[in-house]
Parts: sequence; structure tokens; C-alpha cells
Amino acid sequence: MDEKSLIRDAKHGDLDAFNRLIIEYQNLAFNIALRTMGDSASAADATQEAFLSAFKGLRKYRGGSFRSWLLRIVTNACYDELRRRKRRPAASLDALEDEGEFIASDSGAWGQASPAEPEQEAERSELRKAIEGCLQSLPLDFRVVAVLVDIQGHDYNAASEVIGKPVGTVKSRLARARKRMRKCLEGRRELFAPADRLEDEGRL
Amino acid sequence: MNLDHLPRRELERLSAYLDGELRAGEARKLELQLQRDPSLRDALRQLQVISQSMRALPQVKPPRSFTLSPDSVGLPQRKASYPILRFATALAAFALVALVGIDVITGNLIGAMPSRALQEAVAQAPAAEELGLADAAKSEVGEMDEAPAEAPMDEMAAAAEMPVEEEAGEGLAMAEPAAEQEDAVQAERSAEEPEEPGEPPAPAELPPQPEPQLVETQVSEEEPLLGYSAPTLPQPDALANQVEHDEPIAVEPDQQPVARPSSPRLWIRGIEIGLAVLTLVLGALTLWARKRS
Repeated sequence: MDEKSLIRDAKHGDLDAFNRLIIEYQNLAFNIALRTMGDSASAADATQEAFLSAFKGLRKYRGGSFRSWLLRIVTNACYDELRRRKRRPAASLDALEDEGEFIASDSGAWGQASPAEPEQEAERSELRKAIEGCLQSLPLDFRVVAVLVDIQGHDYNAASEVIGKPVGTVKSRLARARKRMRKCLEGRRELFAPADRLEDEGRL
Repeated sequence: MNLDHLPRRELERLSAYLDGELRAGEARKLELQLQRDPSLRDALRQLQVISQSMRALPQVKPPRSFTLSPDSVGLPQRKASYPILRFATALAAFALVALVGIDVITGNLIGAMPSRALQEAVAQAPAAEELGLADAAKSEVGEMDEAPAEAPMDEMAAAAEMPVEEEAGEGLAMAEPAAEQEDAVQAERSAEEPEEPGEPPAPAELPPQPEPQLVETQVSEEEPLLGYSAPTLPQPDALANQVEHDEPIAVEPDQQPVARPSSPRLWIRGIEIGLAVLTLVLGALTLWARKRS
């Protein structure tokens, strides 16, 4: 059954149809929540709340990209959850240790290390934690755009639909988020390969 | 050029160029600048490293499934009735269409049968035509044509042989099933055989309709119950007179044995009506359940 049929049935109260949509999108929704919230438990709560809100508000869905509509609810749930915590300080690197089981990443750069490369795996883990820590240090609006475009690979239009802002806003927030990330990671340049060191050529 | 010192507009252009989000004209213009300005190229490289580093973050498997239960969404169980009702409506409609289709097909097949039954019935009653009962037979045939698919061949053949006999019983024989009528005829024939053993069987030579009529009429006034067992054959003159006298009665279509619909077809009609009603009720319930949900 295609997505439109599932949405139509779910609109008529067919919970099984909506659960099939949840199964289709729950990995994506949870990972956006995880990178936005910073910890697995909060991300799971926000994701669950988002799916519940989506089911109850399904009648408000008027067509278009269901994926964008759903992810907008997910990001709003993250905003609400963070607001409830009264904007607690950015998560420390230690708080990110128990992240959960990884699904294979696209690049494979930080996938499961072979037993023969424990040092490389340790360095990758350190870099991953550094990036996650810097990500959490970003303002929430910048972080959401960085998660959508840089981590989840959305284009500007799709990200614009999710956050409900013009493409120009996405473009601006993303550029500034990258600039802040670069500044944050500059102090951990030893974690990058020599060719990827975040140093100005003028300083070398 | 350090990213910190890059004008905001240039930073956004570089970032968008990195993602392929610049228009073609802007992209060409920026590429010319990049060829001339090494610090701009360095800024682009740094943005690229950051972007690739974030994109390489692994996807994490959710700790649990987020599927919803009816309790969690406050959904009453009755809402699950909609898909069930929808399926039941479709099933009932399909069964109705299939049954009507079968009924039409079999009805067409049976509809071709009465003409053959008619020929047999006429062939078995040649004497009746000789005695002027052809009109009666035709009337009966006409009646069978009106309900061609509803009378089995055996019943029609028996009816063609003994219409008057049933009248003589003053409605008694008409109230009996066709099988009993046949039994009565056979009993009569068997009763005739011992009286005139040298003669051929009576039904083959004697006029079938008027003869039993006469006998039964005569006997019924005195001993109605013995009418079928009376072996005495009437005189030809009396028989002819009686036939002439009785002929209008035999021709009356209302008193002819009516070819009734066979019970299986009645059952099919009943099931069809029942299925149609069921389909309508289920359809209404489905719409109602859909509206409620």
C-alpha cells in the first residue's frame, strides 16, 4: 500500500495504517530529535510525542510532502521539550556517551572499527563526540537547520518546509551554523586528518 | 581568509555554493572569484570539512518502536470496525453479483427446456387431440410457456395426461403434489389390468383425459373414494357425450394444474433478496462508521 493510501486510511482513524507510516519514518524522526536534543532518552520522548501529535492532528494535513509535515512536528516537539527544560546548558560530551546502537552511516567513516584498528576507532569516537558537543552548543534555530541539511541531507527547500521559514532563512542559518561549528572545532584540530585541519592557510 | 572575517554575504554564498544551491550565474561568478582568491578557496575548504564531518555522523537505531496503541491515542476499539465493515460490504456485494450472474445464466439454460417438454407432452397425448382436446393441451402448453423455466419435464408431462382427472376430484387432486397425481394414475392403470388382461394397457390406447374424468365423475357421486379403483370402462357414446360436456371445463386455464417454480430457484431468489438487503445495511453501517471515525 502506498503512502497516500496509508495517510487516507489513517485520517479515517485506521491506527494500523498510521503505525505503518511510523515504522517508515521513525528512524529519521528519532535521529533528527537525537541530534537536536542531544540525548537518546529525550529524543525518544520527543519522537513519541511527535507521532502522537501527528496522529491526532492528521486532519490538518492538507497534502504536500508528508515527510516535511511530519518532521516539522518532530522539530516542534523538540522545541517544546527543550522549552520545558528551560533551556538547560548544552550537553557535555560525557552526556553523549550513551548514544545507542548505530545504523551504518553513509560514508562509513565512523562505522564499526575492525579489531586491528583500535586507535583509529578511538580517534573517530573522539571526533564524533567533539562534533556532537559543538552541535549542541549551537543556538537551537541554527542547530535544527544544520541537522536537517548537513546531517540528514535535506536540500534547502525541504528544510524550509520543515522549519516553516523562507529558503533565505535556511541559507543564512546554515552558513552561520557552519561558521560556529568551525570555531568550536578549531580547538580540536588534532582530531582531524592533516588535510582537513581547520587552520587558516595564512597561519601556516 | 578566516571565516570569522568573511563578510556574512560572502559566507552565505560560499555555503550555498557548497550545497549546489546557488543559481548558475551566481555560481559562475563565484568560481571566477575562487580562481583569483586563495583565501576564499581556503574558506570554502573549511566549510566543506565541517559539512562533511557532520554528514558523517552515524545514524542511530531508535531504542524502541514508536508505534501507537489504541489506548495511547484514546481511540475506542469500535473504530477498528470501519475496515471490517468495509470488507464485509464488499464481500456481500460480490456474493450478490455472483449469485445474480449464476441465476441469469442458469435461467437462460433452463428457459430453453420447456419447448422440448412441450413436445413430449403433446406426443404422449395424441388421443386427446383426436377427441377435441387439442385446445385444452394448447392452453396448457401456453401456460407452460408463460413459466417455462419453472416446471420440470416430468410434472409437465403428467399434467398434460391428466388435467380433467384432477377436476373430477373436485379440487382434491389439485391440492396434491404432482407425484401423487402420477401415483394415482398408475394405481388406476394397475387396477384396470386385471379386468381385461387380454387387452393392451389402457393408457396407451384410451383417450387419457376424458376417460378418467368420466369414470371418476360417475363414481364420485356414489363412492368417491373408489373412483380410482373402478375398472369398468365407459361406453364410447357416453364417453363422447361426457367429453363434449366436460370440454369447456377442461379448457379453463384457472383449473389447469399450474406449473410451479421449482423450490431451488425460489431459494436462490430468496438468497438474492437477502444478500441485497444485507449489502445495503452493511453499506449504510460502513458509511456511518466512517463518518463517526
